[in-house]
Amino acid sequence: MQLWELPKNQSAIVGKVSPDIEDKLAERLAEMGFEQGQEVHCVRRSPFKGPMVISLGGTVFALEQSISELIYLDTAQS
Amino acid sequence: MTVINSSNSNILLIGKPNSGKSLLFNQLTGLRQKVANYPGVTVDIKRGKFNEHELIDLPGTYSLHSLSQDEAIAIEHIQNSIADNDTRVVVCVLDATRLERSLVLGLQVQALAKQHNKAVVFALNLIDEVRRFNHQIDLHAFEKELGSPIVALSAKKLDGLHEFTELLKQAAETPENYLVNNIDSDSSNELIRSRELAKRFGMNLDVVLKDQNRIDNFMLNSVFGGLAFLAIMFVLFQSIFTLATPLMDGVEVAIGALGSQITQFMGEGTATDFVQDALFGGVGSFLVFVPQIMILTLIIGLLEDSGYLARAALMCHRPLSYFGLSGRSFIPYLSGHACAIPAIMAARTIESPHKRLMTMLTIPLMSCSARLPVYALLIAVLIPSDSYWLGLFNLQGVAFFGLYFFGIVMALIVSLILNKLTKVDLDKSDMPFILELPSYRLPHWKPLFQKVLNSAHQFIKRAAPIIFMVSVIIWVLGYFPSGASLDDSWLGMLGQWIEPIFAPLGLDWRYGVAILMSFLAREVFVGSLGTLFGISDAEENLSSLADKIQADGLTLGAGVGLVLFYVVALQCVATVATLKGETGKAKIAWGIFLAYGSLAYLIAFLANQILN
Repeated sequence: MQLWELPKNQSAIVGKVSPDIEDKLAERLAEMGFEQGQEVHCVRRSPFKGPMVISLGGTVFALEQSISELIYLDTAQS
Repeated sequence: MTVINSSNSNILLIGKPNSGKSLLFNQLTGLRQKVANYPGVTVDIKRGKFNEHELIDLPGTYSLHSLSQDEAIAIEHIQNSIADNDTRVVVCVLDATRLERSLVLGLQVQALAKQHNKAVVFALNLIDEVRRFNHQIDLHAFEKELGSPIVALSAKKLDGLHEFTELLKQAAETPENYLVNNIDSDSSNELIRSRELAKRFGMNLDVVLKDQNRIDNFMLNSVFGGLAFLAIMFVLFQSIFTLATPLMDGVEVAIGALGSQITQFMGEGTATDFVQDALFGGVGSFLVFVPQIMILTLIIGLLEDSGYLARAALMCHRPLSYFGLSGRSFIPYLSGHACAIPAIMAARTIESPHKRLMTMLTIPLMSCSARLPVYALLIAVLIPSDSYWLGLFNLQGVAFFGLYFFGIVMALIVSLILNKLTKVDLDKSDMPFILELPSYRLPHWKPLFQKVLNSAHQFIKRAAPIIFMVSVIIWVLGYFPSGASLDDSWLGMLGQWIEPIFAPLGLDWRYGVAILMSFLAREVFVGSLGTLFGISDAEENLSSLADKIQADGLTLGAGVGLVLFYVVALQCVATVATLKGETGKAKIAWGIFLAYGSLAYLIAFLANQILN
């Protein structure tokens, strides 16, 4: 399951990021907290496929579709 | 002026965005500071005095690993500063409410400082918010784990600031006693370490987010949030004009008075005319915009420091991404309606270098306030003031709105086309839209005050030299041969010589001359056209000039073409200079100048052909 598919008010565990993500970007995502095993919560979905708002490690981020589709959720644990 | 004292006396301030670093910097240095623009680094680096030392506020970043090229330059600058021989102490600013996130950078910086044998101290900022939730942090144990001293403080409430100042003084005095002293120095596991430390010392994060989410439920709501957005932008837009107008008038009067005071003692002659018209007239016509830029900066600063700007960017992202722009392009676009120069500089916050470029290149199509007098004149010429549309809307007002709208639509179209043309490997190399939504906070006046002063300073620094040069050139061309009227001057001759260029637009040489003169600043068009039509106070007396132009027989097609020409053409040397500075490429700046000039000419030509 992709992070993009996470419905509003639901939580999940972050899994791997897509190999399509460049190493540098993957590293930055990890530094922002997008790391395997971290809990992510969807705070808000925007109309017209606008950026989704999630909270992760006490920080709230807005992510657009193109990047949140490349972050996978760990379905086994959620 | 402050002399930058070299030999090993610099203190660096490093931290992630939204960690309250700027306010801490202000509290430590007072209000005297210098903003330096380093080549290639698109963010400002501030320098101020702390005791006999130089405190340097480095750009906020999430990590020492860079993503884009722009970021690489800024981060490289941070790394070089840490390694620099002049650096005495490195201060890592942590956000106590977001410990894990800020420790990632903090530990990276600490590790690098350790490598270079530099003293490190930590400032645990925003402690007031942590205490509000009754959370206690065991600083003694934290310090032991970190291997560097740490002081909890609130730069806003001034808690712990005295203690931190004392620590910093001592560290600067004897840096050898403050070298990093941690056992675990494996630099690869900063992520794990910061998570462990945050788990042990940080606060329960759900509590922090509760307040924030409550406000966001309103601010980001599709209905109320949208209305709030429109209301805020309306107030911003209104204040750029209404609040700024008396101040702008004041500046104009003051410059005029100063000019006549000085020339009074000079007697008549060429020198006096030069001082009066080229210096005070030319440079004055652009200083008028300073108050407006300061007000714009103040309001955007308020929105930024309160946390709203990130929400505005979030809401605008989807619609703007259709045109290849980012949600962060919105504020630069809005600012562009006051003046393109601060707007182009505001584009620095855009995450993706490509989208930043697109935004900067299309900002000049926003109808800046220098175009207002030109619009007002030409609308008065073309549309009778008592005509109404559907019996309800004053047609002149509708036309004004239409011109603004035309500029925005043109910007979106141009951006769309440029994106299609430059569809490079965007997905891989471009930074995606990931935006931290910071907590809502009450802005503090000190950093705001600095920002406002700095905006005026930057504007004058950027625009003054080029405006001065052009105003001297235009003055010389319009003044000589000595004693000639504008008609017979070199500029007039030049206008008549290039009349064939303007003929297809239905315009004679007088419009050509006025267009040439308005390269200084667009509103000069009105005054020069007034001179050519024999009206001395055209700026104050728009309607009599409008009557004259009407009687002179400006056709509808030519008039519409001319006003559309002013919407599109990049007729502002200061903007071209800013574009050159911010993109680092003269080719881009002059290329876009030529492109908009040609496009404007084409549109004016078509309008003249179709409507006549």
